Amino acid sequence: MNETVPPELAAVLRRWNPGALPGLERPAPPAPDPGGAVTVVVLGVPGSGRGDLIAALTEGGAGSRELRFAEAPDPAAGVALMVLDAAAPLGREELELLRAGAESAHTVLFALTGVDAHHDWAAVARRNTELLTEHLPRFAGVVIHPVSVPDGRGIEELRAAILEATTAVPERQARLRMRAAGAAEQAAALIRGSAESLRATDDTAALRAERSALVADRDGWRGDRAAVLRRLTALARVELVHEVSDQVRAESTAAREAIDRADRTALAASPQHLRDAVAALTARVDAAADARLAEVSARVLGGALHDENRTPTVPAIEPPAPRHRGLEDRMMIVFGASAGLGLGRMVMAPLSTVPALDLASIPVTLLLGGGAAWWLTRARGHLADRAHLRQWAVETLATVRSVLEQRVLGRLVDTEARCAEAILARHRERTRESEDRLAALDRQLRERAGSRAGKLAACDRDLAVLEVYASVTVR
Amino acid sequence: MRRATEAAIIRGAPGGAFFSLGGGAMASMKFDATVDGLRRSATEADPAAGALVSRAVRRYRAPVRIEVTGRAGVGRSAVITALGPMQGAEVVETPAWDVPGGEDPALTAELIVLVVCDPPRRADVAAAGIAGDRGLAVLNKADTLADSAVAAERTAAALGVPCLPVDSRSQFGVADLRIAVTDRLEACLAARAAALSADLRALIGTASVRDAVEEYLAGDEALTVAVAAILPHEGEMPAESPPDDPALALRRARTWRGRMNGGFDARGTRAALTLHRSAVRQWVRGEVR
Repeated sequence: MNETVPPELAAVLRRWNPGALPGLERPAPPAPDPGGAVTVVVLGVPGSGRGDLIAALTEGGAGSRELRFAEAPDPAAGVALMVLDAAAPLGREELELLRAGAESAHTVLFALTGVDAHHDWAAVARRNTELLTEHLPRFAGVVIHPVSVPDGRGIEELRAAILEATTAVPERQARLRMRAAGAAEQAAALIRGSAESLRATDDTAALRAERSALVADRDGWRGDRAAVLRRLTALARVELVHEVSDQVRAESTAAREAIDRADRTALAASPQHLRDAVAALTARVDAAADARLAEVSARVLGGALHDENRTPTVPAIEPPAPRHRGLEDRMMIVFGASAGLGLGRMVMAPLSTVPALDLASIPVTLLLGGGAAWWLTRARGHLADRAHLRQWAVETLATVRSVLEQRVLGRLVDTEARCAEAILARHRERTRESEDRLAALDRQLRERAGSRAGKLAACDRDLAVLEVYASVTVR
Repeated sequence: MRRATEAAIIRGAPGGAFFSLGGGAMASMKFDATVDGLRRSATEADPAAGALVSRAVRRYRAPVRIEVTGRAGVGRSAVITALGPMQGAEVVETPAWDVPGGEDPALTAELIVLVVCDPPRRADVAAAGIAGDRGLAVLNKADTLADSAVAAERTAAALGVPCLPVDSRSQFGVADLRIAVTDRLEACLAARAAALSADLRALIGTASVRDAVEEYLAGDEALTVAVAAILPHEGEMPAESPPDDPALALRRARTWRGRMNGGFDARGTRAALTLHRSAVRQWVRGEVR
């Protein structure tokens, strides 16, 4: 249908240079037939003076080629003549007629009738050109021939234009071909520019960077956390054991001092005091361990662990065994009695000079000796009780210390295990997430690469079409 | 024409048409009720009825719109200029018909002047079809035609509306066009006056405003409106004596009475009755029209 613009070239131009296409697309002219008649299809709304114009064109054409005019659209006619009325600018009716009737014509000429009667025909012609340019881009900037049938004005020029349109087909074709070649050149430049910018811009760099960061980080987090956990638990072990011995030592010193100062009643109450002190000590150690372990989990996991299942108990304390009264006590009674007798004799020595009192001094001496023996025995018992209790306190606190050490170390081990579990769980989650993200990134990268390749291939295809057209034109 | 002017006084100067009564038997009656007074009293008595009265009066007083329409370049503005200002009407130019890529205008006025060039196009026929009875075609640029009268007849037949040949540049046919437009305008005004009378008469059924409406309808102003509603051909007198005859009003009243009694169609009888009443009041006032 179209010799100047083959369909594949038209498709390329429609994509890349649509503005140039309407001026180029027109039907191929019929085969030139220098001797034969030329059919011109004449279009016009009723009352536009079409019949008069046809009559005027027919009768004045002696000596030149025969022109045959058809009023109905004729597919064989390559030239169309659109008759417009100078009374008013064209409307939708004329445009419809033109769209339908001029489709098969390779050349369309325009005539404006009644310019003798309508003095403002020039303005009407200008407005018509504007309307044609706006609504039928194929006719942008066409020449409208003003004619007047009654006084014959413009008829000859119009006939000459029609003959030129029918005979000068090769020149016209050449002009059109040149314009098409220009449009193709423009389109080729556009395509090359687009392809270059496509090749130059790589919008996948950010995606690639994210992917490599993900791959690098896939196992790093877990190792990092495990190292932190090891370091912090070792540190916590040392510090907690140290804390326990410190506390127990201080408590031991305090208990010893209290026992050394205690009288008999205080001494009786001291096991209970020690029990209370051990309860307070246990609470302190537990609090210190809590703080320490919370710090470990916070620094390893960035958050607290869920509560461990723990019932705080105070280490059990056995009451002190009753002191065994042994040989020493009995010896002390003997020593006390002999010392008391000696003391009584010493006190009674000045009275022996009085004979009357000699007899009376014997019971007094015995009494004094008995009293001294009782006191000595009693003091010795008190001292022995203190020593017994001191021994008991030291042993008890040593037991408490070992219990507490075992307890904090057990909790430390438990915390370490649970931290390790949490790290593992979180690592699994992170691995799954990063695998998903990696898959998405790979997909995006593939898609982008595919679309870019597709666009470049489309550019190459269009360029190939243009090159083929250019080679044909040159030939 | 005179009746229309009187009605225009009522429309233009509300409350200005008081008529002083002469002596005689009718001296005790008051005929000076005005439509604005009616509106006030109706609004006081019943706001809904007052709103109806106000709407009817607004419709009656609004200027008549005349739309001048047609295809681009046929000379709509030139016809408006040649027509000049019309009293009691507002002449507006619509956007053009048949503009490529545009939409055709909606025709909403009471009177539509369709400007065409010979021969009429499809768009002109469509516009005339929409205008219908409101339409009046003007065949412009008649100087370019060999026989403009024949062309106008052909155009009128094609469009289905009356058509006048006009050339706005040489003022050919403009006087006829003015007369035709004025006649149409008067018919519009008469239709409006009839509509006002009908609207007010319909309000008599509303008990709260019945007295006020009846008083107004019996008054001189309402009679003037009713006279204005009579179409020109219905109010034509057969033959009149010179206007300086003092008994002219009475004789006229007799004529209308005779026509009223001998009338066959209801509309003509009603018009004769209205004109009879008007003539009697003129006679009472000693006026001669």
